[in-house]
Amino acid sequence: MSGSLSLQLSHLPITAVEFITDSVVLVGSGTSLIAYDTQTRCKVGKLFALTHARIHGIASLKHEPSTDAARLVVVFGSKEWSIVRVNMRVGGGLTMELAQRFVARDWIKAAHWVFDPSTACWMVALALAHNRVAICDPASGAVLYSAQCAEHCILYAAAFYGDTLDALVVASGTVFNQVLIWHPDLEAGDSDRCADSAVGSRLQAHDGVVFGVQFSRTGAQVASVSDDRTLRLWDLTAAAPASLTAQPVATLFGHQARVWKCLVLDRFLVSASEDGTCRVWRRGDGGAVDGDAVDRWQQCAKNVWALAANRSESLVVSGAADGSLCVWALDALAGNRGGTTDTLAAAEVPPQEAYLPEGVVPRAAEHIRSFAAGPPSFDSDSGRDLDSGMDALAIMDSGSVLRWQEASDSLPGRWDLAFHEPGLAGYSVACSSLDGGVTAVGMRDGSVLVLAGGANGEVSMVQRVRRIHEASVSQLVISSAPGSSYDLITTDADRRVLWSRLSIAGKISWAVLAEFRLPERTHMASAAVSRAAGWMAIGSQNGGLYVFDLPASLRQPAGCEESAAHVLPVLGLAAHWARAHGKWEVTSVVFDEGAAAGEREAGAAVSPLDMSGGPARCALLTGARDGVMQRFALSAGPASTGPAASPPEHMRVGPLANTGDSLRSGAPFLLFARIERKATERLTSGSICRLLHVRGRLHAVAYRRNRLVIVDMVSRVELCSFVFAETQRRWRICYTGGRSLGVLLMNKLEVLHCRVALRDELLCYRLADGVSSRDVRAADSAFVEDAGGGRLLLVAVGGEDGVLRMLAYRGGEQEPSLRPVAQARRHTSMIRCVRFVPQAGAHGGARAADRCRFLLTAGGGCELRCWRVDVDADMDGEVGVLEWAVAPCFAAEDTEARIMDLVIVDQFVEPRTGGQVVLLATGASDASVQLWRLDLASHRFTCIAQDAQRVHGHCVLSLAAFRMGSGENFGARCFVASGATDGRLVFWDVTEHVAGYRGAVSESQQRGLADIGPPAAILDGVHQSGVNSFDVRVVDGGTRVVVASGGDDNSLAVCELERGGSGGSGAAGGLALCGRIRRRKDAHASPVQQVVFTGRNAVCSVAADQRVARWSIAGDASDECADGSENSEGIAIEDMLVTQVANPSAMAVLPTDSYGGNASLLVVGIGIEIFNM
Amino acid sequence: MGKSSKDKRDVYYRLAKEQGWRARSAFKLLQVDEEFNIFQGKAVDLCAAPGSWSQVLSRELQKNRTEGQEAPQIVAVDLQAMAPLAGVTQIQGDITKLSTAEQIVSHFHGAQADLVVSDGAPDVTGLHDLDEYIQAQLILAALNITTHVLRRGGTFVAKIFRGKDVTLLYAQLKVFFRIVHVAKPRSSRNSSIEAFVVCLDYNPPTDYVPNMANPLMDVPYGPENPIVGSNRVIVPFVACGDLRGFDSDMTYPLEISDCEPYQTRDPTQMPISPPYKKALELKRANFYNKAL
Repeated sequence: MSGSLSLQLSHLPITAVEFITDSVVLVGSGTSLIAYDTQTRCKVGKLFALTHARIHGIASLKHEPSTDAARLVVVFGSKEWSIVRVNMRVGGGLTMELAQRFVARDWIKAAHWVFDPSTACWMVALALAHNRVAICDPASGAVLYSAQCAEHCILYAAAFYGDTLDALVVASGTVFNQVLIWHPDLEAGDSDRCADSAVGSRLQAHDGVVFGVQFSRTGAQVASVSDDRTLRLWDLTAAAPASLTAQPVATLFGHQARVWKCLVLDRFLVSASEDGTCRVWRRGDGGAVDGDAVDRWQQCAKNVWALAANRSESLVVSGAADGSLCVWALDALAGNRGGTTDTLAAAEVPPQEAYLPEGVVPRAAEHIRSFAAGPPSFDSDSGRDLDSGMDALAIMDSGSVLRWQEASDSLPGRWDLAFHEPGLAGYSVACSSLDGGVTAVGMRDGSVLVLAGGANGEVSMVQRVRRIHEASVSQLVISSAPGSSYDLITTDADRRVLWSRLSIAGKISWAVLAEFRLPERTHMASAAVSRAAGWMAIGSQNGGLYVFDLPASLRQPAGCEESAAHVLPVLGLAAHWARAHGKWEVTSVVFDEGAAAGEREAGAAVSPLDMSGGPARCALLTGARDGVMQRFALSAGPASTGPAASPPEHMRVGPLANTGDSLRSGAPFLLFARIERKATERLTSGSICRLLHVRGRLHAVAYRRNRLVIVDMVSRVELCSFVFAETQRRWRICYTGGRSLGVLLMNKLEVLHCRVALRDELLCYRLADGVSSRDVRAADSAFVEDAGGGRLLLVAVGGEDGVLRMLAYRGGEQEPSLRPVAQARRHTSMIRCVRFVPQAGAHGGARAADRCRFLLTAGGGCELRCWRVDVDADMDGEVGVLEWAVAPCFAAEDTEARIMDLVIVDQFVEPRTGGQVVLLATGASDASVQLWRLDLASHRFTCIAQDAQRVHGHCVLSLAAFRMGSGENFGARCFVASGATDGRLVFWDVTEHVAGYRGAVSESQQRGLADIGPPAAILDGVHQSGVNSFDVRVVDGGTRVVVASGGDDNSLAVCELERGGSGGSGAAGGLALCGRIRRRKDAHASPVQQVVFTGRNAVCSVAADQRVARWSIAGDASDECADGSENSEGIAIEDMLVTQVANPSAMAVLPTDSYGGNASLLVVGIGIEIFNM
Repeated sequence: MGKSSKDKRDVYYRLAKEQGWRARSAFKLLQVDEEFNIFQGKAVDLCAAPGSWSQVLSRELQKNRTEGQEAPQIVAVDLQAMAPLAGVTQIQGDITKLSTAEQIVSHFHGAQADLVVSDGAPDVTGLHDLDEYIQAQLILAALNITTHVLRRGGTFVAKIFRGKDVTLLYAQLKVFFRIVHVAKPRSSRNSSIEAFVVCLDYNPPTDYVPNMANPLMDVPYGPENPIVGSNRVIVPFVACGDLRGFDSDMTYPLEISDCEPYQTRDPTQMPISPPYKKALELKRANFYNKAL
């Protein structure tokens, strides 16, 4: 027997935020009020502040509490409001208690604490949506005074100013594009007929509805934001009389969608928008506002709803539709971190006469050929992180190397000649390490010149290796290694790749360690070395990834000094992945330092005699011009998945080529290198220029639509973005120590520069993670084996943004939680269905979870995909989501049909190949139903049958599959059922198709596209309009099925079918309705979106009216109905509650019973909630 | 996105263009009429722009007119100006103003209307509770002006969002009308929570005095209006429109067999200037490429 429905956890949009101290912030999410401490970044309290309304606003009593240290807070949403008492505990922490809860007569737009001198009490002023103000007693909720503005209209926004009743001023943002400033003429009581209060000022310039208003601290200015995408600032001191219209003192464009909220701070204006960003404008001393935003904070894809600043105006917190909560430090505003190159500081190269040594003739066409980050600005020995100025080397075409140093003030900076070498003239390529410690210049004659700085930062060390290459040097990569040493990888026009080690302790010592052989027609574009793990990776210009294992002898950092004489080892390729990024240049490869943390300590390298001395497992990230970032795991192991065994598609294998002789000769088996693709994600619709680690955090530099963007990949915060033309596309990034990155852009004779604040954890962080800022449309769950060998319950969700997200559910002993762990974006439009393939051969019973699970998704554009989901035990338990197979489009190209639902019909292991095969059905918006065969081993979807007759004639909405009869496989009959917008249910007997594909059928024997055949049953008018969802339960030993369906017509219907006649294929009498269709017409007040069986006679439903209900289904309609309502037809309501998930689209039973207790109910829509059953 | 892209996704959008309706919503009113037979006498179209429902009223009332009857009288009210329509009198005014109600009645020469329709909807924000509230206020404002202009026994049709608190709106409508239905025309997408209340037999409470000075409010929750359970206010659902007609959720090929050959067409009525017009101009001037 199941218990009553109750809320277990929710993840909802954040619609209100308010600081109550300088560091403690209250957050409204659904009906719950959550307190976070921004210093400890912990959730410190939670309370259900309202009963069934979403919290839209929080107002704290700004005056410091007197003795009891309790702070009073008004929390409101729609017509509800409540008083919450927050007790701050000494030494941190707090408790929240609900003092009172009231209902107002109208929708509340704003609340404010106001002092009534006559009673010496603090009152609550409420601004109501019909442009009315009510002054309420916070103890009784009684309306003591009220006022009505002369302008009778609906408000989208309101704000108060003034601490006392006499001084109270209201700003109303109306549906008619105006902001009205009025002083309420308060009358006692709550009369409908109170006299109109005159409008003081009418601020009229917006071209759209006003969504947000706010007063400045002094009340002298008011800001408003609107449908017209602007933020406008108005000066009330100068405002003209109401009859005239005042003009805004600033009109700020920048947001690319509607603007919801704004803050007027002493130094800044902040706005939050539908475009998923917050924007910051600087407010000058005289109240003047610069028209260009000084900062832009990208939080999510859509809708930042809530915004608040703390009292000292050092922090802003923003809450968004995806449930994410970001804290931004205003002090971290770097000033210039975006815009166009015009706005950047420029440092022009001095005339040649100024730097060329005497006697050298100036060149006519002198220009900066390349440039590099300058000498080190932090002490690499002590590891001290000095925040020094930017430093760059401009390597002129003439061969002069000019050093540019940023000046402390905003002067253009200083230029010095660092080095002059006529032989450099016409050099080929230059590059520097990220820390600026070493710069290398490759020349056309195959020589490489290395420049390094001394203690004072001057270029004091130069070393040239002549003719290291036999052809022109075409690419250089330098990466830092421990102990003042660097790895230099160079390649030339002949595709020869050399690995050198540089040490700059006092002088530059240089050792060429090895040569790498790349296959024909493969040119190095990027490279990385992990000495600790023992791998070298090269990304090619044509999308390939090449991996070499490094012999232990070469991994040690020592051994730079010798060289020259001995024969250069040539290292062979261990494994490669051609076209890992399609045909796109792999612009960046980096070993993931996060995952490499567990690597063996560098230097304490493995003994060459050690049998486990193969390279260590580690993670590799690649970025390419296709905008995709991929994560690979590199590992070495015995030949179990050697080439002969044909490795799976997500893996590439090759024998280790360079392990020591002792290993090879003494080993009983060969070791193989494995490249395993773990995840792939499109970061941008443009291209990825570089991935780099700065202070241990991964950053991505991307280029999209003439814009260079740097993103912190941990917080996904965009650090800066610049517009600069494609032709100018030369940039360098230098880490200047401290918390900033130097960004340098090169023009012909000038260096444009700026600093970008690294928004590390201290300056910007997420207090809460977001899931999806768009509607979630589908969800399913499955267990996988986690890193510790236990079980992890994963919830997969997909929705309007086309992103597949994996959430990890934790339950049992601890407080239940749902945490986003992975995401993948391959669908180009909405995902409408998500289904895990059941565990192979699982027939109930407790069973260990599989290492990996397969998942199917489908949606817009007829896209149908299979994914492989696993937890990598070696990679910190990271969840990998990998696209496994993509179905060919079945619909005519010009129809833009969508797959509306999918269902898994059968799965089996094909005896011939041993591969797993899944049979599934899809229903589409062009009225068709398809059957597919998915061969997991060969990654292939094949459409095996289709409903040629289009029996539905209407858009198919929902599907189910079930099996009737007994006996193994062929004694039973397989059915697929489909429901459509016309309220019709159709049942298809697909037994023959399933049987045809179950046997050992070879590929060549497979039939072409078959017709599914005539329906086994058609039920018309199950619903008046669409059958949004239905579930099927097989009863009576497989002789009957019970179908429960939910319709667009608000009703729940139940019917039973049984096997009729012989049930032969093609016989329309295969299934017959027994009895009649029973309908509970009043089940919901709006479309029923999902129906699932949760027990033998229990059905749960969720509808657009945000009600989740559980129904019991009596054996037949004549049974007495438990809830006593008429016409219930034996479908009785057992429990119903309100969900805060707006537009709930799907529901799934979550197998939380394996943690003890009952299963739970997962509801997804705009947000996610889980209910105990 | 190609010009025919929306045509492919939405068959009614295409049909509206082909049949000269200013918006696809014309089919919704036509399908409501198929079920409820509402077109008769004098009609008022509230929140009329761009005017597709006025087009339908004009055509259908003309059709239903019997010999010798005077021409149908139709008044269209909207805040925005609307392109003129033959046989439709336009009032550019606010439906919350008494003067607007008086203008309507004066146009009918003191007589009252037999039918009031409203297809108005706010720009939705994405906060469903707020959108539903604003839509409810729009309907209540329409109902308020309707109580001034509708004859007893008259009909009121309005667009609603079937959201969380829709039953409160039903409860309020039931105070004024003997019969309230919620209708879903087949031309309204299954995936949309939009529907239409069809309120028949206007019958205000005996002591009710029409009053534009104060807005009508939706009823509060209470024992009579529980938010959950089986005692909620229940309004019968009716699906409207011929099942053999087009399905608004279905994707059709561009060539539909029994229609004339497909050709791309411009919308009958181009959209009015949006609030973000200036932002759009800035976008065209590449402002947003440069702005942060």
